[in-house]
Amino acid sequence: MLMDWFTVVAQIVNFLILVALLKYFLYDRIIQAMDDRESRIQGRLDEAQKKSNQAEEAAESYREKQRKLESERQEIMDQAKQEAEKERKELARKAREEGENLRVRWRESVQKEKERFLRDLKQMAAKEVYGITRQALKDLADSDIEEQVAETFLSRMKSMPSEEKDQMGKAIRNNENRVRIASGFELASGTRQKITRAVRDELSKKAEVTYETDTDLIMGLEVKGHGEKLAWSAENYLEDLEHKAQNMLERQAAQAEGSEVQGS
Amino acid sequence: MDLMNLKDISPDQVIFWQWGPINVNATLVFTWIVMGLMVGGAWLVTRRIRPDTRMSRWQNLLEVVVDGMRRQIRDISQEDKPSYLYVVGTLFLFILVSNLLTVFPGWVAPTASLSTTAALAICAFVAVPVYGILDRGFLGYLRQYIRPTIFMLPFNVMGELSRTLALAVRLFGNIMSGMKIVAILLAIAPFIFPVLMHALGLLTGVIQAYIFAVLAMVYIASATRVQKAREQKEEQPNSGEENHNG
Repeated sequence: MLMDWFTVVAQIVNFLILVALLKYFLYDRIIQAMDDRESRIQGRLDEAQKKSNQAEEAAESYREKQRKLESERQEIMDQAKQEAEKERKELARKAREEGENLRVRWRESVQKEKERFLRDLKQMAAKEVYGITRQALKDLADSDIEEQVAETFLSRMKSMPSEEKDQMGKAIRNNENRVRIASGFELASGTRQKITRAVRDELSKKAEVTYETDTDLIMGLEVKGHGEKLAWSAENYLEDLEHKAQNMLERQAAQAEGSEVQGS
Repeated sequence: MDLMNLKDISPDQVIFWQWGPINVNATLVFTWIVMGLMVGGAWLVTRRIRPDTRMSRWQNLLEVVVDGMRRQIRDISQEDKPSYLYVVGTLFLFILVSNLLTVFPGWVAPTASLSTTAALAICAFVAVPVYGILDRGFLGYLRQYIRPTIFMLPFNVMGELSRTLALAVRLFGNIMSGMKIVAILLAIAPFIFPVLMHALGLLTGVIQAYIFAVLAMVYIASATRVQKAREQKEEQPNSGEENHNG
């Protein structure tokens, strides 16, 4: 008999014991270890994935920041350019303004120069005219020309409209009947009497006439009351001369300016 | 071959101690040695088991073995039940270790005893209805014996018994004959030739362990999953008939 039934039963028991022992010592432990390792590796992979995601997010945020910075930089550059452009325009405008101011100042100085020149010219011309006239009058007839001036003055006084005469008279009365006669030259006593009479006849009967010499008048006569004045002098001619000279200067200035504008 | 005579077909016949029907024979002693080696080895390796990636080589070996068995079982049963691994894996490892140790002179493989192989086959024979009933219920399991008709009942029962017998005799025959051939050849030609037969015996031993375990798994699977699959097929009459019975 090849089979021993006791041995069969014993082997079945042995096998079951072996199953139990190996379950405890081998399978459960090994499977547990493998599962643990798997879960650990999975955990590490998850962690790595998470970190990778985080890194990706961080990189993305940095890229975003960089883009923002770039756009801000661009914005600042644009702004700077705009400001520079504005500044440039402002500077150009200021420069133009300054140039304009300079031109205005130059024109004013030219104007002043012109006026000074005219004033000087006027004075010089008056002096010259006076000198020439005086010289001429002296050369011709010393007293006659002064007489002539007085005559002209008197005739002018007489030909004055009556309302002007009244006004003048009133002014003299207001000035306590004092009348001042200024002349550019020393008047002869006969001429003085003539003038005094004429003043008393024409303007105010009680007028007290005083005489004085005023070289500013150059050549002429002037009656001064209280704010009223009657005069004839070479000033009229001088003014005419001045006017003419001024016209000439202005023409020259305009020509000079025109050529300057063309030149610039 | 000091322990066994050439005339002794089974190591059961080498009895060390006897008390009535209870005896301690070579089969039991060598079985205990195998069990001690396996459990001791497993204990030694898994004592300092590490769940991280820096493990010992022995642990790695055991993991490869256990994982390989698990994968085989999953391939056959399409399920990942740990209880299949406990039974089928232990069958495989026990037979494998018993057979491989024949490389040592004087070793008596417990699988060369028909008592051992019969015991293992009986375990497989019992495991099939146990798993079947656990999986599908008592009636559900019994119903498979009257498939496709009630007239098939005797044949199904006979098939069940004959395949158990086949399991036991196949393993016993292979290992026992291998040992006997080596013993006979040693008596005839002491040099070189027995080595070749020994190597062939190792190969046979590994293959037999694999066959035994896989067949046990197939029988268990046929009692659970495949039956279920067939029932599902019968509920869908359009699908073609297929016989999955191993």
